[in-house]
Amino acid sequence: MSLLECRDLHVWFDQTHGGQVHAVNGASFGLDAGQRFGLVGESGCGKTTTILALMGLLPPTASVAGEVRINGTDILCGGEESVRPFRWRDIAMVFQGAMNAFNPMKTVAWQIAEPMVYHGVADRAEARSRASELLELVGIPAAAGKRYPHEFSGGMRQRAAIAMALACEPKILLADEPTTALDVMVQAQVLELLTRLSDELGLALILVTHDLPVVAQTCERAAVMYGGEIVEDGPVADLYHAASHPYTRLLFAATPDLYGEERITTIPGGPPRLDSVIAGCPFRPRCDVPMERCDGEHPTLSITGPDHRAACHRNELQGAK
Amino acid sequence: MSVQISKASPSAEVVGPHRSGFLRTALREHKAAVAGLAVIVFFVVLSVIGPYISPYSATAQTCAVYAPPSAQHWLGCDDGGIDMLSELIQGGRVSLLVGFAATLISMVIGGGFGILSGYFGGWVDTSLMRITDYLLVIPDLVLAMVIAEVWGASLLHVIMVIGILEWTSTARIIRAEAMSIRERVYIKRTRGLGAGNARIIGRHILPQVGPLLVANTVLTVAVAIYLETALAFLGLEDPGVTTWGTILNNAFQRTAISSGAWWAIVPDGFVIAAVIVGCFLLGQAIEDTLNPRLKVAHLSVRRWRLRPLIGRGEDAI
Amino acid sequence: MNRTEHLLKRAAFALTTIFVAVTTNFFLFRVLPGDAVTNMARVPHASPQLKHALTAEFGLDKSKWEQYLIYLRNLCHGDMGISFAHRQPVRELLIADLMNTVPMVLAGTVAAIVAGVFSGVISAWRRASVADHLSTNLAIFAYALPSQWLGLVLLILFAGVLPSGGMMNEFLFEPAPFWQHLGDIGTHAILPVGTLMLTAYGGYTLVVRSSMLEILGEDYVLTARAKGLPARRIVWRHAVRNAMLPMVTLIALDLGYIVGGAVLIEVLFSWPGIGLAMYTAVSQRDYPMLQGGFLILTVAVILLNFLADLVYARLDPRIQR
Repeated sequence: MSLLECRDLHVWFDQTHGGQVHAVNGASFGLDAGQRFGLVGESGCGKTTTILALMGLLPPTASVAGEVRINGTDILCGGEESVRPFRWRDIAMVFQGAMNAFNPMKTVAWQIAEPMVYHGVADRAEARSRASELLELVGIPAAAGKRYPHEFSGGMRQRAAIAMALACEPKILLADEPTTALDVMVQAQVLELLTRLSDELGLALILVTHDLPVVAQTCERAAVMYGGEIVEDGPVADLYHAASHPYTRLLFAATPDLYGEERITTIPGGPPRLDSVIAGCPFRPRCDVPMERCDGEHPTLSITGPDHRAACHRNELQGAK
Repeated sequence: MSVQISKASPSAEVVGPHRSGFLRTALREHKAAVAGLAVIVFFVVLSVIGPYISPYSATAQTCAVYAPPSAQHWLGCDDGGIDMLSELIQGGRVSLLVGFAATLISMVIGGGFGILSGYFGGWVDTSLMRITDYLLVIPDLVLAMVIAEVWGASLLHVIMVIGILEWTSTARIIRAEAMSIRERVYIKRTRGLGAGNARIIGRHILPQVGPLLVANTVLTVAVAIYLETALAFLGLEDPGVTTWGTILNNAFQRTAISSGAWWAIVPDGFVIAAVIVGCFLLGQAIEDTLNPRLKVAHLSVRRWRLRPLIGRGEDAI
Repeated sequence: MNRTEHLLKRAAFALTTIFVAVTTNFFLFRVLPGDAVTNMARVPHASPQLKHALTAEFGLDKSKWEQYLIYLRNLCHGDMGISFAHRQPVRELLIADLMNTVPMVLAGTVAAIVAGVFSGVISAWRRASVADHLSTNLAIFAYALPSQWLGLVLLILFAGVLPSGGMMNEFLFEPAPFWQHLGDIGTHAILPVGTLMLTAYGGYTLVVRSSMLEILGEDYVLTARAKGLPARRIVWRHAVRNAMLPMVTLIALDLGYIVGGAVLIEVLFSWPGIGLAMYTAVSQRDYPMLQGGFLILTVAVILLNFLADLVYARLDPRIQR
């Protein structure tokens, strides 16, 4: 049994003028303690919605189907109220753009200590000293905790956000684009911190990013999302060197490689609209190797190697050979 | 009189050529805007055709003093035996006139201050905004009382007093808009081509701020009508005219309460509130259309739902 | 922004505004055509002696500029002239009236703020629910109904139950026990305070609702939810504190409106405050009283605005010490 198991997760959003957007379409993946998992794709492909759904952090316009299990317990089954006890104690999150993740009216230490006191993990005094420890752990002097969020720099705030996420010693940490909006040096430091914490504390980490080198540097496994679906998942090295889905291949080709050679190409076109059913392969219009079959038949994930799956008709073709 | 009213009303002709669909969009997307416009149109029409449909004279005695509502006099009669319904129709004519005329004055002052201040910036902005800030903190009814008293009680003075006191919020909003328009590339290019300030303001700034000015004007009408009733209640309105404000004042001064004549008071408040609410809803809707705030609430008593999964993949929708 | 600098700026603004108010006062009454003091013919009980006294007091035989200096000097000594009607110093009369106005306005405003915050918060939290529609529509109507109308309707509804006017029972034996006296004032105050509350609460509700809606869309609200905090705690501990900031400014800006409402209410319920004094002064053409009342109310609103600046600087940690 995996620590976290996400099975056939769907998320729809109601639109203001009627209709629905199928933002996440049948995402499934599992995660063990201490494992680092990357979730990659262009913006608007459902990455953020997927991990928000793992914690049930969706707006009222959303409807959800599927299961999210932590140690075998389905946490979404009772809606908001059934997820709430698991939040921050078992599964915590570092938000995209930690700039606004802090309440401007409260000190940083207060905000780190708050969930500990609320969840009964520690009393007020313990929580305060633990908040200081956590700040030290992420490399911020404990005294800075008495200050307000606006007095922190971007990098410090992101570290503080990580410290806050660790408050209740969660088993799973979700990080949504934790390094965007930071400069390169600070980015590297934050990633290093996340890796170290996951090693030392045995944290399972899900890293959401559109930045492929970040995933390559940090994670063991990754999933590629396109149009609300996971189109390929497997060990990072396999995705990098032996991609089984044209989107993954083009995505890696579209980023400069680790040696800094300039060969930025873009994938023409944009992600598909998700407000109506897509009959064939969602990637069909942008694919560089389309087939006739791709127009009418929706590909499903199939095994293409050890611990490696992809949703592309070409693989089935090769398998048949 | 009626001509003036319809001219100042927020009809389509006031709308500038740019973003000209804003009124239609507001009406389509906000049900409240339709209701608001309907109320305003109703009262404007009622004022125009008032003299023809008014059941009795609004000045002469037609029934007993404080006669309660009856089949002949639907809303009863006041202290002078005057039919309340007729009086309300006549009062509405004058109150709306005061509201629209005062708003016209405040629109000109506020729009002018806002555009000049936002367009020129610098010391022009500083000095004009100082005046605005100052007027903003002065309690307007108290100042209006003093001015109306010094000038003497008359309808014209009430209109002028309200007009020169209620332009401050218009000026601030228009200023912010004019400032942002000034920074747009095409304005800079136009200036580079040698267009003068007057031309840029007349041809580009004014049409652009137009819709916002209309939204604000509609809101100002509400404030103006409110202030008129207050001034009238304090006896600063010409005692010879009938307005919704003087009706309340009469009821208060002339023992409507001890006579238990609620009909001399209650309907008047409802019509005042109806017009003000109408203006408020329409103005708000236009503002929301021009300046939509699309933030999704992260917290709401409504929550996301679970739904069973029927079939898989594409069938699940 | 530096806090001291900020407050000095606001203090300077308050002082210049007071100066402008004082000057406006002079202009309104003495320089504008049809001004009051020189136009003695309109003063009903203007005997030759009074005219002579006035000429001496205001220096009407001197130039406007000298008159202005005399006026400023008198004001600096706290001298606002002698009431035409009462033949007593305006200052003493108005201070006595102010003592009656302040508790009534304070009680009404505080009640309105409490009611407005409560219904505004509930409205935003339960956005688009029946409770929201009810409370918003009620607020719009309360906002739109003239205060004098609300007062008149309350008078009809409570005729015979509550006293209809005045501040105390004139026939109550003068050295009555203190508590009985206070109770008497209390019953007299119910209707005026209630009317003021109804007048002001609607506006506050609408302001709190829109500012709460803004805050509920902020990222830190999502963070608070991710921490597993219950909605009640998020609303009252995180959102409301932040929503109060714009409230402080708006309450201050609304003070002019409250003062206007208070004038109407004092007239309606013959509450012996500064508004009633001004109303009486209008009908008696008692210009020194009118002038004094205007000055006191204006200066009070300006000072309260400055007070709001102080409160704001204290509440918002972003304005640094």
